[in-house]
Amino acid sequence: MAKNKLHIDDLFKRGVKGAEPSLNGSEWNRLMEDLHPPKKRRPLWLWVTLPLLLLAGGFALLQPNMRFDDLTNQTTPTIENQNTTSIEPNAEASENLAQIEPIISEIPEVIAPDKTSTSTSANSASASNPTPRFRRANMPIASERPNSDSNRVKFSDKLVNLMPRPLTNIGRGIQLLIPSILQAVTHPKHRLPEIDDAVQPYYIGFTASGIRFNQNISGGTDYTRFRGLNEKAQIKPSFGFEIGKDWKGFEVQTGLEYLEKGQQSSQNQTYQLYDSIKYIDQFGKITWLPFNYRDTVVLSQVNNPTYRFLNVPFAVGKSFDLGNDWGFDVGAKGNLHVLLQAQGGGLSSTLRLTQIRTSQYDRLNLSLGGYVGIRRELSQQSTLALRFNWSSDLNNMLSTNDQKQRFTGYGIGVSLRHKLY
Amino acid sequence: MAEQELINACIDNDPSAQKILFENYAAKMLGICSRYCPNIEDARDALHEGFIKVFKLIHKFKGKSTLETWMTRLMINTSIDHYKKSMKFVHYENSDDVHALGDGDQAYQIDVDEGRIDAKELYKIIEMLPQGYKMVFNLYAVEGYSHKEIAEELDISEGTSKSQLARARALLRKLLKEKLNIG
Repeated sequence: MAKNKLHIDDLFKRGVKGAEPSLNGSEWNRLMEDLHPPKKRRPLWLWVTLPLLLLAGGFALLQPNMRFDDLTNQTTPTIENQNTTSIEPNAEASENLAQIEPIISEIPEVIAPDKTSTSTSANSASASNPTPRFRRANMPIASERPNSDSNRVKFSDKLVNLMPRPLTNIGRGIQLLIPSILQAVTHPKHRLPEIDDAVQPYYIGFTASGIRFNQNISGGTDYTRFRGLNEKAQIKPSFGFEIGKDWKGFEVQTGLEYLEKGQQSSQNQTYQLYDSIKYIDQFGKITWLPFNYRDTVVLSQVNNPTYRFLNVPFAVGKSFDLGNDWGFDVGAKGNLHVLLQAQGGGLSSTLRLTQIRTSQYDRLNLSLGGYVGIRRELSQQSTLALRFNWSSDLNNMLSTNDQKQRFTGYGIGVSLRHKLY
Repeated sequence: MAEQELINACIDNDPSAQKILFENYAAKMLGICSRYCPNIEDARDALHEGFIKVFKLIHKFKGKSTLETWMTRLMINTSIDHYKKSMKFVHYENSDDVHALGDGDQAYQIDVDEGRIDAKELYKIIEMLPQGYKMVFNLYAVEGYSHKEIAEELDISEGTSKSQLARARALLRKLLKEKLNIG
């Protein structure tokens, strides 16, 4: 065989071409998953069941069972009553109204004496009972409004009358709330009328919390445990409103909140990351790379991942009185999170710096936790509650072959509540 | 499908066109990545990331070179990114002793019967080089980069590039002698 003189560079330049390793067949599928990620679809039953549950829960909570309705029904004649008979208010209701009257009269725009009722049917009523009768001027109870009062019906009343029943109840609740708040603000506690403790009121409130979240990552790759070490828990905000009711000795509540989850990347993110890359040399020897300052400088990125949610909490708890104004609360709380946005920098399963995308994550998350706290009654209708909350995700936000991600969180929140009588 | 049509379809994010492009070039690109990555798994990662870049940046391809050349460059850059992450492992010797190894062309002329050489054997020998040597040797000898270009790509000095090349050649010559009895 003839031998040629060949430069070693040329030998390898010619030689290596055509000796490429073969594809293992999975490359295209993996690429497709990243280029065109399939949208995860929740089972149909979940989409049907959850809204129904929410609707049913909300409807049940908003069913009219309010003390004020009772008073109104007892004191305000119906249309038929006004036309045909005169109704005598019972003694208890009249007494209650007599106590409330001076207070109500000081809020002229919202709560006003029912001039109409005194002009149309007051004769018989005033003859039997000297107490002036009052009605809530803004009470949107269509069936109870006399015909002669129609020219006094406000636009908001008309709107409320057009609403379906559950919305009417919400509208009624809102209209009841305004005078209640005015009442609480303008009148000291001792001047408020005594309210029957047996009445189980609704309350609405505003909540604000700071929750410290820890990200729990598990999965098949070694780097994930280092990634977990690399990211510090961060306090994230949550705020919204709540609505609740005392129910058979328990406090049941739900609401709507804006909630953020996330974790702060460590100042030492990159070096910790690159500190932990598994390196396999050509002889199969596995080594963990040491700290390298250059990576820290070049690749440092402080773009912490943040996940923004709309949260619907469901809580059942128990309150214990600790004296006149103080109480102790404890309860269990579930949360239904709907992911609105995922934003920030992260690492792919192959340690590439990448921007996280909302579509990578499950839209719905469930978490379960609880709360303990104290509350103080500021007035007979207003309460300030301070609670320690904790929760843990029940399902993974992210679930791939390489990693699974979920959060646990704990924090402190305050809520200012107002009872709706 | 003509190449320009294929490119246009890929710009439109057409999965079938992307698949054709991938099938046409994947094997060759994996070969390139594997020459710059420490192991085949890293090479597959680099190939994956490289093709994502290809499909995301293909609208920037102006046709000044062939598509293959453009993709090759992109794959090399992606592989170099991998290399930079593991660069801390490579201890660069001082370049003062480069000439002691012999840098002249004569020193690396070998007698060889090309018909008897198995490409896969040569490939395995290159794989045995330390990562730094392998990177510089491939860039210089196979891709035709200058030492200046290598220095810029790898953030090293030209002297270090020359030193790495000289050591790579010396080690390759030794391995050729030992493994294939060539030299």
